[in-house]
Amino acid sequence: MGETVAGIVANPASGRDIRRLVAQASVFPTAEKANMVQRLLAAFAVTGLDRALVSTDLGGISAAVLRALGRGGAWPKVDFCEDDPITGTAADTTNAVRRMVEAGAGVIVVLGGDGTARVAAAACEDVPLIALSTGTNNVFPQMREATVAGLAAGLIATGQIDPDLVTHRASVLEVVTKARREIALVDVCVSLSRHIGARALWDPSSLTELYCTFAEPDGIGLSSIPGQLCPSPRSSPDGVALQLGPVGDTPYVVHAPIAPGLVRPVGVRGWGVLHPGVRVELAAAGGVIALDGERELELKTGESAFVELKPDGPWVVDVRAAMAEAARKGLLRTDTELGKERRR
Amino acid sequence: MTDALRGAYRVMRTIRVFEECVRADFPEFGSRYAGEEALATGVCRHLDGRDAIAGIHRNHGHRIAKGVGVRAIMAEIQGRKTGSGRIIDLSDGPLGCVPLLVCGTALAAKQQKTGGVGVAFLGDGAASPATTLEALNLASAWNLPVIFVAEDAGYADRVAGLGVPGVIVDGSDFFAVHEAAGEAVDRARGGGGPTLIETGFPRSVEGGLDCLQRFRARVTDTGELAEYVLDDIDAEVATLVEDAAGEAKSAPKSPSDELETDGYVSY
Repeated sequence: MGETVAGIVANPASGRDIRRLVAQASVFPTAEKANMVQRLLAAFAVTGLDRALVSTDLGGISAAVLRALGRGGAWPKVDFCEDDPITGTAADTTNAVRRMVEAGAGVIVVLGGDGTARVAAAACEDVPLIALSTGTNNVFPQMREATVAGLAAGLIATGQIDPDLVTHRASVLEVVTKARREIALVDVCVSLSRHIGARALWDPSSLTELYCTFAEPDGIGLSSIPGQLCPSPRSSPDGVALQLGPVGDTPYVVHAPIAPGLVRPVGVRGWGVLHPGVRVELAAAGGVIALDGERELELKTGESAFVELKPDGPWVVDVRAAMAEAARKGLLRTDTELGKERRR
Repeated sequence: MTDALRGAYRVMRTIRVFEECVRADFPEFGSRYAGEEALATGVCRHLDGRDAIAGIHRNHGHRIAKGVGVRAIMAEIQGRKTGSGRIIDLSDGPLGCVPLLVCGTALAAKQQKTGGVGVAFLGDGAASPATTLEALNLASAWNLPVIFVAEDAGYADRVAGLGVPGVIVDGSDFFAVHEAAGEAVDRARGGGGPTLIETGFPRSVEGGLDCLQRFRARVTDTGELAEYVLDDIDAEVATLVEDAAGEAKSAPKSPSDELETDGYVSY
């Protein structure tokens, strides 16, 4: 095996949207994101990884990592993604992930919320992702200790664990408009609101259609609506489709945690199974389409849009399975002379 | 709604044309706000006569958005007696003094129960002075109706510990600013306390991100406003600013001993 590489993308803007104002969504400080990057690097070193490629940003995360690098530490070689100008937009995540794919990364760890993971997933090709939660609505990223995730990532990137045993392929929802093709990892929602505005969705009365790759009863965000009506596990190849409407006008009302601090009644007209490979036309003309809880696509009057559930989304690392495999193979164990004697 | 959109576009366009006009006479004009019109406008559309704003640099944009007459500001810049007051500072003012002044207006509004709010527009130069942190702390401790609007300076992170919600929006998108500011102003008027809105200005993205072009493209795409309506506003604003400049140039000059008039108050 040649040089072993893993990538770390940290989004400085995750966990900063308007939901901190309209609800009590948590704030994830930059300093903690930088600490998580350092915990990942420390874990990478233990696995013998040769090189880590880290994203750069103007929010202070990469600067903090650089300062820590100057103080020395038991880390692999650290390089920063410096070849693309920083735009302060989602393009920074896309560019960093592309550089990591080009550099031959065996795993990419993404620090952010659903929005960051979505952007990374669109660019990571077949490189497995570990998405760690530092955003607002975290359905796709996991709440997990970065040190443990770093061990799992390092063991996969160094080839000590076979990725085929500990990764699975996530489904995605592909949305196609006249000008754009985008994916969502969890949900696609049509909103009557005319503008992207402050991006996050928090008013369910403007929503008309919802499509989810999966729907868990204990989910947060829009997928919690079908999660309480017609749950569909992540392991299912099918998704769910819902028609929404104003409360008082619909046969069903779900009290769903659509954002941290916001449990709102949502009117549901009906629902059904969303089968993979079936193209559904969205009735969104002139409105806005939200991807994973963020208004993203503004449509012109009369412009059509389609959604399709696709089984070929990103490869996702199951950290728990990876660490179980590490235990089974004894990868984080060392046999000592004393131990050998005792076992004799 | 279309009235509101027309009004917003008129303000943004006025700020832009005003600056272009002044720069033609004074190329060194220090108040450069082009590209940020959506920020002042998106915030100030929620304000009325109860509210106070302050901003150090680029403040012709804030003033026009708040409703100060273009003729008066133009006359002020031209050094005429008909000017709007001796408070446009073409050089660098003391960075970081604005947020504390606004805390004062907000405290007054709170005590007099006017429902008024204070808005402090901060540039990145105000990120470090102690007065900025003092104001944020004061606004939090006294639950003042203040909205701090910070340009791209990493404040949102720092205020979390003070219990002030900090949100980041795209400062070149009128609709993003307007929506966030609306929530912040409602919160402040309702006794919910201060908010910090940090506005990023995305750089070098394909297609350009000029806030006026973005606004124009979006409202015509949705059919909310027709091109000709926007063109009419452009023409109307051009005339307004041209007239204001002509009027200012023919007005009598302010004598130098009036330089500090309205600028300082003795207690």
